[in-house]
Amino acid sequence: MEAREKNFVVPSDVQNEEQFIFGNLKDINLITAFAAFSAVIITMIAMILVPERIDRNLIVYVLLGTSIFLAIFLSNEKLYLNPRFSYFPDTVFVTAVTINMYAFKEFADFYFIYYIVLIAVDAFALRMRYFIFITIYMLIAVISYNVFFASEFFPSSIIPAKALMHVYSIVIMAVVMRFFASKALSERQEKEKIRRLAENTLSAIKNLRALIDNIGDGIFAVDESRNIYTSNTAAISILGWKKAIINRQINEVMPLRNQDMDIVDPVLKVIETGKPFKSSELIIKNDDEEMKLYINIAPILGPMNKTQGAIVIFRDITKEKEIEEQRMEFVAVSSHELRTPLTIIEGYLYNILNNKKLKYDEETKLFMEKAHKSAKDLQNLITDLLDVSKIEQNKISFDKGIFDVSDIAKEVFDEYERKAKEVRLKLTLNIKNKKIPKINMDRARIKEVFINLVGNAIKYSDKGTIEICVDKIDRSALVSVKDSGIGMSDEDQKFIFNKFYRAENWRTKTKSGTGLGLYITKAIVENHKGKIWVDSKQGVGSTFFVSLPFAKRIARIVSHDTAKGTKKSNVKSKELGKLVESI
Amino acid sequence: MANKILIVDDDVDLRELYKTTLQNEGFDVKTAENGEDALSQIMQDKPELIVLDIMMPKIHGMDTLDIIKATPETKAIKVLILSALSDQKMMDRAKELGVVDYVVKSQSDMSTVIDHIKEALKA
Repeated sequence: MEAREKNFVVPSDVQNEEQFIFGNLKDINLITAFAAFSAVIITMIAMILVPERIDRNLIVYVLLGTSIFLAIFLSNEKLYLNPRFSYFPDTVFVTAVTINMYAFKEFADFYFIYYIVLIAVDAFALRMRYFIFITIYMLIAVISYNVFFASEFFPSSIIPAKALMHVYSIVIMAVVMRFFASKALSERQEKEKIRRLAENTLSAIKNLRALIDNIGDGIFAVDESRNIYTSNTAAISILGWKKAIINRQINEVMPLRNQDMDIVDPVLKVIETGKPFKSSELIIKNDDEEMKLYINIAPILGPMNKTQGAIVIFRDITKEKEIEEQRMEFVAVSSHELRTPLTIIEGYLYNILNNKKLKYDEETKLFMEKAHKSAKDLQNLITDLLDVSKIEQNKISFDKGIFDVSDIAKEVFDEYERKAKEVRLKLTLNIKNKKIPKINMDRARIKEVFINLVGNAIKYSDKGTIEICVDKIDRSALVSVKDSGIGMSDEDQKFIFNKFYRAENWRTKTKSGTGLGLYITKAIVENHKGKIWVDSKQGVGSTFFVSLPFAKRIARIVSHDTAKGTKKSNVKSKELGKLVESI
Repeated sequence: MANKILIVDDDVDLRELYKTTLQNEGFDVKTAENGEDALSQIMQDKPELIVLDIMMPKIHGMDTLDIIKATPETKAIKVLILSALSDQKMMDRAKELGVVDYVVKSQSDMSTVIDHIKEALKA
């Protein structure tokens, strides 16, 4: 952001009840003190010039007031700075003016103007209470003067008409000035408010700025034309961008590609759809240098929810990805290395058990069988663990292709029909709906899913039939494997898809398998956006259901080439799958 | 007459194991440690089945397969891939080249491997 950073000092709040437009309390008091003092001086000048007009009592009154006033004015600063102190000089001032207006009737107009001027000054200093007080006092002063000093006792013309008129005019003038003064003050207060708001806002922006500049992730804000208008320091340093950045197109600064190295434009999508782009791994290729980013894009919504731009937050994960890839490689190589000796162990145990030339007693044979079984279990466990590690790190990748779920069901049926017969179970295949649309998934993995379910059914049944059923519901294929085996408790059903959970065969009190089969099966199904669930009753049997959503946009294509055998159509459907995905 | 089988795998222990096991099943077994060795053996004495590993040094298993299928004298020999790789693309390519079967080592115990080999010979 190339905004100018001004050093703003946030002012402390003015807590006074009374607001002053000009200056502060001290200045105001000075002004009123000056007013009072000047009035007193003028009175004294008048007394010197025309002594016969002045009542001796009045002189005493005025002199007394003046001395008290001066004493306070010059002595105690604390008292002097008290807002109420100004009442005192005001009183003196008003009294002096009143006296003069009466003693020097011909100069009454002069005093009148003089008073107006000082009222105006006070009005802009804006002390309402004092204001009202003055005008009321004026009235009292005038009336009391007339009553006690000017005449006997309330004569009819008690108040000289001119004086009264003067008083009324002063009151009106005071009110009018107060009105204009208050307008001026509120304007000034408004400006003050706005100034403070601006200051606070700028201060907040400064703090926010400091915050986002300290965030390690890069942040860009773009407008609806995808021009960058804000960036933080991390964004620029991550991308190593040396030139000016403001007003550049974000695609120029961050040319993104997906895993397949196709050019992508998620910012455009976010602005067009108004939907956030949830983090993903994208790649920038800038001058042959590749950088992997973890990106989050959120739309900026304006009035009426119209998208006005977007915020892009990203992190450089190139190093992390490298480390992860090395780790994956290590896991893959290690498991490969683990498998070879295990293959040897299992292989030779198999040989011992199947070599007719070898002679050993029953006990030896039993031991060999146990060892052999464990070796096979270990082989399965390694495979499962590798799968689980891929699933947990979201590394599991799928070779998606378009195929018919019924085909897979048939393949699994063919492979396991014989095995089921070997353990005196009957395996059946029931394709309830011939017109099931194809699915776009990893054929081998989905086959794994069915193999796992059928394998479990065989494992946990001691009698009866296992039925593989293929149907459709809504926009998904529904495959179920139903057995009449030992079933499982409600407790088991809750945990059956958890890692390493094995339902106890409550008849034989044994557990078999790695406990990972269903966990992996569930992960495969859910990764393909399908669902898996079980319905079981202990002693009666279990039915596992898998729903797999149909391939999008192909929902209407009904399999017409399944008769042609799987080899060629596999390859063809893969090409088709790729084509469909690129639409 | 016993079926002749050629086992091609870079791991000496695995070669020995498969040889022992298959001989026990009554087959006539020879072994080769890489693609080159395999090709020269095939030219001298054609087996009925080649059990071929993919991850090998010098010549990659798939390249060996290419050569076998491209050479007129050898292209009729049945090939069964026995590999640790379970990559779909690899499997598709192998199927395209005309292998009889593709068995993934990690997913199969010895009994399963023997079954597949017997099935392949029947095919």
